[in-house]
Amino acid sequence: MTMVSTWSILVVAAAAIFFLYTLPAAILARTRMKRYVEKAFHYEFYIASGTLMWVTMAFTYMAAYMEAWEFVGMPAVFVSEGFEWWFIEMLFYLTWIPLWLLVSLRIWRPSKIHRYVTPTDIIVHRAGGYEAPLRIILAIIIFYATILYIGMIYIPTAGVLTAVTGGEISYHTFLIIITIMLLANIIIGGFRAVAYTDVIAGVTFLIAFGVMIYFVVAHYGGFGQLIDTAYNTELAKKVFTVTLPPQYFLTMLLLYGPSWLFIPHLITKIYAAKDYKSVVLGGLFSKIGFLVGAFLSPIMIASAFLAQYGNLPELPSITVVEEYPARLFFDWLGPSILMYIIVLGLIAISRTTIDAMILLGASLIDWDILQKALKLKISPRARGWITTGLILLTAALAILVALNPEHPMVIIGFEFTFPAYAVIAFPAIIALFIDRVNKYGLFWGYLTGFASLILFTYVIWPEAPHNPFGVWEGTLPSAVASIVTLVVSYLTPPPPKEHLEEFWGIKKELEIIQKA
Amino acid sequence: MSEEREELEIYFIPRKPWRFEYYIFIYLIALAVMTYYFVNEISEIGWDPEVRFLGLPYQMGIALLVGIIWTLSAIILTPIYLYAMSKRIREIKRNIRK
Repeated sequence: MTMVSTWSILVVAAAAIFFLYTLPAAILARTRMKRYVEKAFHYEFYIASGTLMWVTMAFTYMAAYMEAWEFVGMPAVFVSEGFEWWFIEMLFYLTWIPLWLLVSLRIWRPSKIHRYVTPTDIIVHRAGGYEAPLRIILAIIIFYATILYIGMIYIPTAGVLTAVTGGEISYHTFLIIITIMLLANIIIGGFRAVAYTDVIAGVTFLIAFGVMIYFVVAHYGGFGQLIDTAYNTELAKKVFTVTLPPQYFLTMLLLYGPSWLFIPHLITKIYAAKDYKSVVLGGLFSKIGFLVGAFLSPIMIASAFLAQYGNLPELPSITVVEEYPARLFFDWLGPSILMYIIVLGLIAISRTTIDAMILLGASLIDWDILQKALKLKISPRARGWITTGLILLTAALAILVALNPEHPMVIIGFEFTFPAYAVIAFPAIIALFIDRVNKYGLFWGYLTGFASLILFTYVIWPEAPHNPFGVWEGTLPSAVASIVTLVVSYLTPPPPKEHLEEFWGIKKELEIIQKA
Repeated sequence: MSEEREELEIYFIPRKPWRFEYYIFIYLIALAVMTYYFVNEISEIGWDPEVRFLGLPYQMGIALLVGIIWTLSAIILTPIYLYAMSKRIREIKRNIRK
């Protein structure tokens, strides 16, 4: 039997320590939950009853970007596949930021009036018909993409912890440990527990980030020197060679960016906001999270990695490329207190987003399919068990994606996950701003969009970028979905005026205006 | 927060875009032109430590520029939205009190 070092046992213990010190947040959430849960179980469990104040919203939105995909995945792909894969993530943000408030506030308004639970709710309500088939199609597309998303974030989560034990504890063992920790938290307090834990996790990560910044800058004598050292290595010649065509960058800017305006786990966070200030300030803090987690950290860690290993004949051996960032710090710091702080920070960012995504996945089956499409009558006692079962199922299915990853997580995201979200996003955004869009348009738009996504990705063009034009993978399916939505809507009767008024709460708005 | 204010906040998010929001689309066109130009440049230049931008190797300098642009757009747009929303709610509230 192989002996496991004390340090490796301490790393496993760090997962337990993190769970224990975030447990009060989950318990507090459980206590507060009792106030609302009897009135509307699903609205409370999945959306925290739309009661989250701006401070919680700020952290939960920061968590959306201070996460493993950005913090670990981006420096890893920067080194393994090239600078361009990180650069396109920077480009998408150029369009996402100016459009975010324009769209999110228009999502928040009906969500508060009608107390939506899932992203499907707002689309189906706006369509005003074909409820059961639309819910099923949408739930399947979002569930498919969400399972891929959770799976790809499991990869760095387990990968970084394996790396800091020097491979003594396997990737698969950490996959199981982290999943159990996450599930306990989610089952205790639902979305409210996830949001409260984001506050503690955010603070933990920022402390670890401070340690990393200090160490990297102190080690290289400044940010500029670090980048210059990194750039003048042998490996940098390959890393900074651009291979993607310009149209790929352009479609990432113009399509991938706007598709994030309706990314399902951010939509449920919009629903959870108590007031408009929480939406606006939550948005601002998400940008701070992006600055720290997606911009500064990857540029710093990838450069430090290049500077450290870029002239070696071979890179350190790893199971998944996402181990690189943790390996870098472990090689510098060894088993030490500073490294332990970084381990806690890595655990903190690893859990963010996965928990919200697991809840989202479960809610799609629980709310959209069982409750709304199939209209099953479920007793309050059985309800809790079903929800727990679906959470376990979602987490377990996502593990399958992470068992033997064939690509770096960032590539999995750009190639498979986000195109599916884009198919959902564009018809939904179009329907929010163009009144002429009707149930026929949305139904056929989603059906053809989803069918083309599957055909293009797995049948017609199985090689990336799944189209012959060199554009982003999501471009063609989301264009099909959007064009069909518009064409069918304009060829069929417009939606009834009363339906649109009910959707937007116009009657009540007019009452308030008359009163004024 | 009072229920009245909470209600005003929900119902007075305008469902159609404000006029200033249409200008965002002009900004997006400018961004697309800028992206096309810089992406062609970084593809042509490739790895070359002699070519620099904003004091950094060219590609990193462009990435820094992109980061500065979206940081500035976040800093500018957030107060604009907070101001526009609170002004709208304040006016309605004042009219109701009258």
